[in-house]
Amino acid sequence: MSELSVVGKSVNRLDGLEKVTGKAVFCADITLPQMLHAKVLRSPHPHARIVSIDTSKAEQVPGVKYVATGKDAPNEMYGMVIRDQSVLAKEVVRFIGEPVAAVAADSIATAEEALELIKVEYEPLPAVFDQEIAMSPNPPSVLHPDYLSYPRRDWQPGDPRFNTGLPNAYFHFKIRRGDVEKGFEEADVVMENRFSTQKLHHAALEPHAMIARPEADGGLTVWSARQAIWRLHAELGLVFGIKPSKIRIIAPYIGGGFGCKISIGEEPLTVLLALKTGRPVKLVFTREEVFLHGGSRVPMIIYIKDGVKKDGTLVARQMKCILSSGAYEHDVGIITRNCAFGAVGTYNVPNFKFDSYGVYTNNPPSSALRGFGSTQTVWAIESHMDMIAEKLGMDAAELRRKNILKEGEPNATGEIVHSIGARECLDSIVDYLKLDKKPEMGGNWQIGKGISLGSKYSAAPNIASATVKLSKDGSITVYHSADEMGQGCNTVAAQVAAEEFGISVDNVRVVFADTLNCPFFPGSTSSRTTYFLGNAIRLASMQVKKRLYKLVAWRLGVSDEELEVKGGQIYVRQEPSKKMTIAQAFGAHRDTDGKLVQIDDLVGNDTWVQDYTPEDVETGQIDPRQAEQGKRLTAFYAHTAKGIEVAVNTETGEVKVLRCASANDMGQPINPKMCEQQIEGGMVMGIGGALYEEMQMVDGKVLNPNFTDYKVPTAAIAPSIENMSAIFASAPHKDGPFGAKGFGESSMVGMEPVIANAVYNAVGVRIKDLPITREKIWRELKKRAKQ
Amino acid sequence: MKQIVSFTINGTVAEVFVEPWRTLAEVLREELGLTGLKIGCDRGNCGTCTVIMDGKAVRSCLVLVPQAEGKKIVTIEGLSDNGRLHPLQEAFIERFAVQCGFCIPGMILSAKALLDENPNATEKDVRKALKGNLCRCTGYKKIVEAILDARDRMRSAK
Amino acid sequence: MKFDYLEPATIVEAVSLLKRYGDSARVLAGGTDLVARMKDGKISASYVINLGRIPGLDSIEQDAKGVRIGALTTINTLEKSAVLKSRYSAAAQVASQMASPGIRNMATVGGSLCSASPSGDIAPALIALDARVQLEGPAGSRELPLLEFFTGPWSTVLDVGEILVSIHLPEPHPSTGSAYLKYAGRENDLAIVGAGAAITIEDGICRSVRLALGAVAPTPIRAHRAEAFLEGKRIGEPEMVQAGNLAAEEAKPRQGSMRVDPEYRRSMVSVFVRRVIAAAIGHIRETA
Repeated sequence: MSELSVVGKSVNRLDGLEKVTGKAVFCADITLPQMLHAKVLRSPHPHARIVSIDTSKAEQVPGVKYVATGKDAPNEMYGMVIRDQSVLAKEVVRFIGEPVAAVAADSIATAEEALELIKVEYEPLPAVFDQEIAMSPNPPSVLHPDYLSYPRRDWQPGDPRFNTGLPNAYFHFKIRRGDVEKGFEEADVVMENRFSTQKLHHAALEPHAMIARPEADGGLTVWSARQAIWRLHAELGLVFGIKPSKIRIIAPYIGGGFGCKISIGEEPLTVLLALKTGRPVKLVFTREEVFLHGGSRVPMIIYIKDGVKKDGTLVARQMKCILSSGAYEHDVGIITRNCAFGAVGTYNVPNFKFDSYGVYTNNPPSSALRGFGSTQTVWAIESHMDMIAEKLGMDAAELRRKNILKEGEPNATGEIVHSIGARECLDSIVDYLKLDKKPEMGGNWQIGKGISLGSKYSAAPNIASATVKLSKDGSITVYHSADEMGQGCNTVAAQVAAEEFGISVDNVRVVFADTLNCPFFPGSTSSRTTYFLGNAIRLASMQVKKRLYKLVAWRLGVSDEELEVKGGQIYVRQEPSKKMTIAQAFGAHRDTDGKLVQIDDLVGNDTWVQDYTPEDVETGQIDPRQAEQGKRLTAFYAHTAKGIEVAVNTETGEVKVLRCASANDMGQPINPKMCEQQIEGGMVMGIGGALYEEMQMVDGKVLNPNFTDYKVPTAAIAPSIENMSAIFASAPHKDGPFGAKGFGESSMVGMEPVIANAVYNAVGVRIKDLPITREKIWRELKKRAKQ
Repeated sequence: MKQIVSFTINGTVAEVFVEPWRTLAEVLREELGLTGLKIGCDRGNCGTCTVIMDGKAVRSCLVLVPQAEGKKIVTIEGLSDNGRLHPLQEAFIERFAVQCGFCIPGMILSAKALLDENPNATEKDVRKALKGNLCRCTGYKKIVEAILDARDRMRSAK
Repeated sequence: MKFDYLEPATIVEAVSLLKRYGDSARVLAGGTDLVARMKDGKISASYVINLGRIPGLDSIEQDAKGVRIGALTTINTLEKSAVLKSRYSAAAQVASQMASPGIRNMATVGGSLCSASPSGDIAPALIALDARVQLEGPAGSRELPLLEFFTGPWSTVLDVGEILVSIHLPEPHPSTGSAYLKYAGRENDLAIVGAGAAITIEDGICRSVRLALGAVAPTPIRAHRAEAFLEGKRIGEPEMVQAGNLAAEEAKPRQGSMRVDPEYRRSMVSVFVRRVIAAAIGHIRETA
């Protein structure tokens, strides 16, 4: 590959100036003429029949323009995989926080006043909160008796995996490779354990915000701080029966996503109010509402059984994962399938049996959260690897090395492995940690070190488009619909385009996240943006260049293939002195027929298509012949290793993070400083998930829906500058733009088990249920002291 | 019942006619269009609503607007001087301390209040002073680096 | 939240307004507690009476007998006070362990005490320093030990119309050291245990000691049995451990708390009482 001029450089972010001056516009900052404010009345019951709703008093409050209830809602349901949600609850509410009524008024205060006057009579129904109980054949509560009849987005037509035979389990994913029973027989050591993860909150600083405006032609414009605008575009069209071409979704800068802004949220009810009032309606969540209906990481129970040989070779692995979806599917159907990839990406497992279940429970709906199921499966696997290493008397890193997949061999779904930087990541972490050295630290502090390995795939199939416009002044405009939520996709887009045309990013403008002006993007989820958008921009740039060379070639007396464009000049590759500027190329001239030609700009649009081959519904394996031909189940895997040194206080159970490092394999960093941003952010989010954070639930109620009691890491908790390191590893991907892969999620994968491993190394306490709280450690230490 | 409240905002005197139960955060954003400050939790726990009032960083979501009577308030919009960025703003850009940007105005103002009071703040001082400004994107490392960089720039400018 | 907003210019005016409006009125000091709780619907008020314009309530003054802290003194002022740092160390230490600068710049000592949160920090720190509070009301002035100011979670002895105007800390004996240690989930979170100690040691013997605890009972408490145990003794590690254990027995942690397991909290009382006694003794050496 030739020397890169912009890609690989840490150019300043395009949005930095706007954001440090307060000029960057977020959705809640937008005001429109005639705008109304919405407030939502929410169910106080985890499961109940709505007997009656009386909105008469609320409607009479001066300034109230509309009070909507289930009877106003369309019959069409929406969702991510299973369309199981209604714009407003019709007959039944299924979680505490479910929208039951909504008010549009001239001020928030008026809307709140009206809300208090809505009288709802409920008949409470039995509820179920634990996913294992919910999954039984005779659970105390069945949330969606007719879920099989709901419309769905199947992975494969008539996908039988939705038909689980269990009333609350709506999806059952399976992988069957080899023969696990035989494998366990052959193993020298067999170990089984149960792990679990908590309900984790994204805690993106920006609460959800949306504005819906009805247009004169019967269409809609919706501004929403959300990821995946085209998903919303499709669902709104379906639910409200509006032609897609009349719907426009715009996402301004998003104040943090991490997956909380993917699922279709309360945009439909905001649209309902807008259509009923004929005016723009704005809804901004309170922080409490974000806890209730902003999604959460899926609480997962993981049963894992591993069989290994004396020398550490993994011969068999069996996993059963039970996912608490909450009251609606809300993206968890996909997580139920894809969490398996966390168990597939890293190690060679010749005999593998994997079962995962998506289960309805009367809890606030779970959703995507950075890692999309992989953080949870890796929590179990990487904890277990350390436990196995100890049992075998083997070095933890060596056990992992022994089993890492190799380039070119099939993984547990039959996909042929390509671009796996796991070994390099692991080696750099081991080097960083110096595992054989353990410092002393007085008082009651014991030091421990730990490592973990992990990966995060990016999903297939998918397509992503980009439009690139070359203007006569030589500047480029990129149009795309990826989500700028802090990860810097606009800067990446500009760098890729700048590289293609040999110009500075200062000459690139990016128009983003507007379905009217920007082509399709499936959403900045699945760590896909750099790979998918980067590729789409390169393809679109090629289209532009094709048209450009065609315009110029005959004028320079050469054929199209002989031309290059760089720094605003089109020139003959072998004879660079033969050239013209873009302005000259576009400027008025006569073609060979003497016709006058003049253009303003050249536009190219193209689509990156990530092909895939489907898995067998019974075995989760892809056809080996397809695999040999290079077809994959995923777009790519990005690999990571984490290393950490902690101090555990034996009196209080406190865990202090002394040093930590995250090695990430991203193929080719497009912007190294921006890559560090992700790595550092992922590390600290992982520390939160491991040690401090938990949505405390009792009978479907969130007890701590605020930042006092839901404890995210602060600047005082995060490790100091010199004690937090970002390490790059490189395993270029043949299909990635300049070899790049995305790693926004793998930056967090493995942080939780690495801390559990380090705590065990420090004080011999193994916590298997997240979070690793002081109380849990203290209780174990007390128990041990008694014995 | 509405009342007139008058205060200096970014060097200019402003007068608003609002109900006394409105918070300073709401009034600055909605009456004066100063949307740089954000409302992340509305309970004073996240710091995104931070403004500087009479030289001290305060949580504007917990300040009732009459409490601001006669005070001097600075928001993020008032930090740059005739288009010239404050060293903190420059440092935040150059040190890659900005990701989603939602915490940034509050973060910068808290940092400014710290450095104005303690021009020799250490990393430990910075982390202690900023513990009430939550950030979910960055892991804080580059934010702290940017603040220490700004400290150095401000010290050498004197 | 909706209310009439009033700004009395004097204490007498404030008292009169509070008496007139009774239960439907609330005092506004810094607002960081009041405004948050009003937003949560935990407090409702038809009248909010801002004491912030009354002069003379927001400073720390030394007098013949000790130090007087005005009720409207901000936590930030407490933190920065040179007077407190030297002789009333627990009072200076508590401030930096509370919340964050943005809160401390508005929150007041009086506001904190009057909100009477069971896990408040100011109360145990000042109780350890033998604080007395001065109240002004329709019936005149009265003063009482801070320990007796609290009647239960979120409630005080304040009668209708009464205002807390200042807190007095008596001048400590020359060989006294004090400290306040807070144990919380993250630094400066709500306390799991708040422990304040003031200890006077003469000729190597503990002459007097006050141990005050917050967050471990419905109100701030003194660990009297632990104090009685220490008085008259030479204090080494075993004595500190025993005092910690005695204090743990005196704690009455909230059962069924979402926040903290009561058994864990009790165990942490032993740890932090032990540590705060050592810190207070350490402070004597520093100032000697």
